[in-house]
Amino acid sequence: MEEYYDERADYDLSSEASEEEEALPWISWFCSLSGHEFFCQVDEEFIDDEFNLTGLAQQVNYYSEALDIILDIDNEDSLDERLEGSEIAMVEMSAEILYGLIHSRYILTRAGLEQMAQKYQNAEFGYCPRYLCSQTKVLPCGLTDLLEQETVRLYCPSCHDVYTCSGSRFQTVDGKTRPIFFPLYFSCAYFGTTFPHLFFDTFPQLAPKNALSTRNQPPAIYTPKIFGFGVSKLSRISSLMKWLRMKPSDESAIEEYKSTKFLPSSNSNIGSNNDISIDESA
Amino acid sequence: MYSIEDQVEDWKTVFLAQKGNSIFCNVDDSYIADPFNLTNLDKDIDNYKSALKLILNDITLSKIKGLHLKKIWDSACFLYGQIHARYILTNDGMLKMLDKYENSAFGTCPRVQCDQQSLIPVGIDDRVGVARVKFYCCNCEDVYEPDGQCNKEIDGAFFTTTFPHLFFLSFPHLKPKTKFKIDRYVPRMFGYKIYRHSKLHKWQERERTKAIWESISKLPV
Repeated sequence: MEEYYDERADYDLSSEASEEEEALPWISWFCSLSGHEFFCQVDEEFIDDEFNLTGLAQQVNYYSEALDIILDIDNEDSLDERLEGSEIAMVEMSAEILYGLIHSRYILTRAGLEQMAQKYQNAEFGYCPRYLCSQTKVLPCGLTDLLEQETVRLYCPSCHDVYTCSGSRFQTVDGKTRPIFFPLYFSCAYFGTTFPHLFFDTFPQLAPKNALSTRNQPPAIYTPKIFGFGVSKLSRISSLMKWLRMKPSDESAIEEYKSTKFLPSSNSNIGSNNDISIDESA
Repeated sequence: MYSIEDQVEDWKTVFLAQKGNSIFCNVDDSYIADPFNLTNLDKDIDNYKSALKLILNDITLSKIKGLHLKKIWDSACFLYGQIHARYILTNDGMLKMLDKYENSAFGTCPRVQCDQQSLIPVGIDDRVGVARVKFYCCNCEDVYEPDGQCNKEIDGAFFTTTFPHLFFLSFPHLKPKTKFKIDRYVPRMFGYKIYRHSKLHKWQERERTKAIWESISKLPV
C-alpha cells in the first residue's frame, strides 16, 4: 500500500486530475468528495468478509457490480461490455447506496466507532444549533433504518434531541472557518438509529457532563421575558414546553428521578400483543 | 456599498439590501423623524447628527469626506439598529415583522419534531454588545443559533428580548395548537428503547403534568 501512495504523490504535481482520481482507491475518493465529510473510510477487510454483507444483496440492484466498484476489482472492461451507458450510471448509484449500507454496519464495530470518535473530537459533524447547549458537538443519526425514508439527522447528546442538517452551517477547523455543505440527500439508513447511543455507551468520556442530571446547576432552559418581567402561567403565551429540556438539578428532584421506574406504557403492550397474534394467525 | 449608483438610492434600501441584513424591517421615515422616539439614543453614538441625517437622506454619501465615511456609515448602522429595536415593539413594526414571519424570512426551526416551524429573531440581552441575534421557535419555545443565511454579526439588542413574546401575545393565532401532544425523539438501540433515556423522559413527563395541574388550579373560577 505504501508504494501505491508514493506513486500517487508523484502524480499530484505532474499529471492531470483524471489520472489522480484513478490512482485513489474508490473508498478514499468517495469519502473525499465535498459533502461526504460524514462518512468514515470502511476497512476493505470488513467488506471482503461476506458475513458482514448478509442480506444486502436483496436491498441493492446490481449488487455484485457495485461491490466490484467499491473494492476496485479491475474488471471495468467487462462492465463496459456487459452494460449500456445508462446502466453504468445506475451501477454507480447503487455502489453509493451499498457503501452507505455497509457503512451503517461498520460504524457499529469497534474499529468504526474509533474512527468516528476521531471525527467527533475534530467536530467534523458540527455543533448543536440550540443556543443553551453552548456548542455541544453532535453526531449523525437516523430516524429509521429504512432506505429512502428520510435524510440524515444530527443528534445532540446534551439535549437528547435531533436536528436537521442545515444546508450551510459553518465549521471551524484549524482556526479557519469554512462552510460545510451537509449531505442533505443522504438517507438516514447510512448511519442508523443505533449509532449515536452505542457511541456514547462505548466512549462515556466523550459525552458531555450533566447529560442526564445537572447537580447544583441551574437547568439550561430558556425563560421568555417581556420588558424584563417573566410571563404568567395563566397567559396565552405561557411556556408549556419547559419539560422538554428539564433535567433533575436539585437534591429532591434527583432523588425523585432515581426512584422513577420505567415501565412500558399499557398502550405499547396492547400493540405488541396484537402484532404477535397477527403473526401467529398468518 | 460605496459605489456611485448607491448614492442615488435611499440609504435604508442600500442597508437592507446588504447580505444578511434582510432580517431587519424597514422603519418608517416618520418614526425616525420624531425626536421623541429617539430619546437618549444620542448619548453613546459618535457622529449622531450626521448618522441621523444619513438615514433620513438629508445628506448623501458623496458629501461626506473619505475618512469619515466608514465611521459615519457604521454609526448609522448602529443607530438604525437601536431605532429598529424600538420600532418593532410598535403596532406598525409588528405588522411589518408579521409579514416577514409569514414568509419564513427568518428561517425555520432546526428541530426535527417542530416540522419547519418559522423562527423569529430574539435578543439574549437588551444591552448592546453583549450577545448576537438568536432565533426563537414558538413550537418548542427554545432559542437557536442563526444558520448560514443570516448575518451572524448582528447584535441581539437590535431585536430585544421582549419582541417575540409580545409578538405572539399580539397575534395569538400564530401559536401552534399542538401543545398538549407529546411529540419527541425517543432514542433507540437496535430497535429497543434505552433505559436511562426512558427514565428521564418519564420524569420529564411527570414534571409536565405537574406544571399543567398547577396552572389549571390557579385559573380564576
